[in-house]
Amino acid sequence: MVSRAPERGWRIPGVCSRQGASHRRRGQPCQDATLERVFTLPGGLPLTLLAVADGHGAPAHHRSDVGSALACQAAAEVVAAGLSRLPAAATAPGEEDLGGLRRWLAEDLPRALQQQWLAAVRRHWLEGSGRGDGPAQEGVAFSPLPYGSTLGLLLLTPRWWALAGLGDWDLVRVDRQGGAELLSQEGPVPGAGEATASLCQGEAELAAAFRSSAWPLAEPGEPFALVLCTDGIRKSCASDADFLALAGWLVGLPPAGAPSASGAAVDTGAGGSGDQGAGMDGDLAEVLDRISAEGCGDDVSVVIGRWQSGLTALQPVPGQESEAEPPISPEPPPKLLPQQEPQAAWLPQPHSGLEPAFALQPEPRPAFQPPRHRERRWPLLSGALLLGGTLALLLATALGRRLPPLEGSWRVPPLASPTAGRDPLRREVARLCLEPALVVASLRTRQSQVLGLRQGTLRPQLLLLDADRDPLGALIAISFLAHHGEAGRHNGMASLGLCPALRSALESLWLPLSPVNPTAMVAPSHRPSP
Amino acid sequence: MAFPNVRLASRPLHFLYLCDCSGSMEAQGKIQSLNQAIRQSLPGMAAVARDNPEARVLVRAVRFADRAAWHIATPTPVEELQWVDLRAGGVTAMGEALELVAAELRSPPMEERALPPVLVLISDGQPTDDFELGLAALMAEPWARRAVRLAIAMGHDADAEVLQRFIGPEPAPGPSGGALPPGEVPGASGEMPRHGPGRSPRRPLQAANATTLARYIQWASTAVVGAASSSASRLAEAAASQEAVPLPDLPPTELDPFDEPEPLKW
Repeated sequence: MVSRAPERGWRIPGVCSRQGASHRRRGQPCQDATLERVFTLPGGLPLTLLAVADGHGAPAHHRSDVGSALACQAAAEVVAAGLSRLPAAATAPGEEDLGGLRRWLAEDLPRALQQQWLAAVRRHWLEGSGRGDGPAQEGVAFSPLPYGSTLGLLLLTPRWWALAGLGDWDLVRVDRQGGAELLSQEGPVPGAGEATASLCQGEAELAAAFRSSAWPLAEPGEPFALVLCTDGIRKSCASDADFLALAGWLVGLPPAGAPSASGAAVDTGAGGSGDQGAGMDGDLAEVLDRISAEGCGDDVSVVIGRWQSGLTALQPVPGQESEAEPPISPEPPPKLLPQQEPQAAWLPQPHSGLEPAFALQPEPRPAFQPPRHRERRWPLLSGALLLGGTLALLLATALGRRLPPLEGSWRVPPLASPTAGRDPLRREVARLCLEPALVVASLRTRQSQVLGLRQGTLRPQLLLLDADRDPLGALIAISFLAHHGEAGRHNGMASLGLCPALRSALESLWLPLSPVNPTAMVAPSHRPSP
Repeated sequence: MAFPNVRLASRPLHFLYLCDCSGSMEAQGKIQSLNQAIRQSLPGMAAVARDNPEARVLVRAVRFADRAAWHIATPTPVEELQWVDLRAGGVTAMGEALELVAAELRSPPMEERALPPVLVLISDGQPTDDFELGLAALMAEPWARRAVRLAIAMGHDADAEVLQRFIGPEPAPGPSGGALPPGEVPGASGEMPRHGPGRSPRRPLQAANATTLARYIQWASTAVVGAASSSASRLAEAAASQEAVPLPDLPPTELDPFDEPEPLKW
């Protein structure tokens, strides 16, 4: 019997842009664009570039459909020109290589992207594109504003991967159990309404708004998937929990045709703006149409990359090494139903009774599930406490008053168990410290908790009571109390065994606010700690 | 493949009236005119909501006289809204009204994905409580700063300066003198704002009679709601100095406000 499994590498099951429901109704073009392009690094390592771009919808940006497509093209050209500067060794890059890559991403890439994009939109403007509003129109100076667009990039190789870009796109990481985590999102930007960072900004503003990061791919390592999407998807979901659940489900959609050959140096040429579904059958397009129609009506775009670490690989049958891989994900996606066991449905399942090599992780993390479906360990007690706390919080919020200090004692959730896997706080600390790049991204999703604690509208004790369900919130609460020198609270921080990156990030939450950095936890550039 | 068990949702658009119900509103039937204008505007607002299914228009109202209180406390879909008449009597606790609204614009209860809310302040007089405190509380909320804030002065006794402070400073005029957003290329959007330097939605709208009041209320509840429903992304640095939603042109009125005051005709 054939017992094949995917090789180590990236698979790209989805690259798709769809015109939003409201744009369709108003006769406006799709202002989103996506791109998938495969390059070869000097040492022969394949590099897949995935891009999403979202042209601004305001009237001042009336050529943003062109601007977003040109943004994707500019990204491909800049990456092609910079291949010699990227880590190309066949082994995982060391800190020195990663440092060089991160510098390139944070310093050289933004400038090069903007220059390439500006040149492209200027050419388009000069050509007039048949609109009769080119340079022949006297008194109208060139401006990139009409072409304004965001841009989000993923650079994927078998040894490292990176994100880069600016604007209101979101990046979600989905682990092998289907657990989804928001890895990158735009921080607060100045301005009213739907303001976002843009390629048409000034160079200094663009550099400040640019976010980038890079990660090595360890061997062996866990398989995971990345979902990069424009803001139309997140804004169509009722909550972030729904958004993460949707991202986890999207990676399980069956790919159409042959998966992109990350190991082959081919240029798929998929790119441009408007409706497109490169490498996909109609499923993803239909899903995106539904998301827009039932959600915010905006254009929606998504690119998906799956990392097959090789851990799950079964041994290939001799003589069949050159054959194409079997479909990666014919199985159903993770179902977000109550009490259901998490499924890694987008991963290949074992054949012939062979067990997948998942044994390296003795205690898998529970899969993400929307809060309403989470299992309650102490349904009566914790439910009553939560209900009481929530009512108090809501009442205080409605009255517009600061909550008075809670009298009496509070307790950090018990830390007696030395087993990280059994203690939610220790497990959370271990998870974040294992991959410090997640720290800032995770804390960014908790701005309302941080602001609530800062403003006195949220009691840290409520977060501590909910530590089992929300360990990160409890960590934030403990750090808040420690920062304010509550007697005996330092013990909670000390006993958690925080790594320097996590400790520093938690402490930075409580730094004084400034106009330049209104929320201390949101750094202008998202870089992992060394 | 079955769609996952996730909740997709249109984005809420909160529309809030802040209505002066002081004793002076009883004079010349102003409170009746206000009730009638709002009631008559509801079908148009509901039609705009139907035309923009991606936005969920939710209406609330605050009344203020001796104290401020919610007249419609629950965010109510415009299609379901039954307007109950306001009654006048008392002084003008405008600052307290702003504080009430500020509390509701906190996040939560405001949804993270909400569209910029629309706040319409209607008054015929001057605040008698601590307006500064209320305004400070309101503007401390990010959602208030993002909101479309409009003000309608009923008659010429309204405190225009106070209403202008509620709205915020008017954006710098464009090359043509109109309220062209900073950074926008003249002609690039294909349409120049038609309101000249004398009339602007970024200034208090003066309604000297019931007809003008009705037109402004209708404009706020239809044209502005339509614009806010299709709020589109834009460049951050340009947006920082302009309103959350590019405001549509004002409706034609019989009078040019401020410049040609005429006797009140309610």
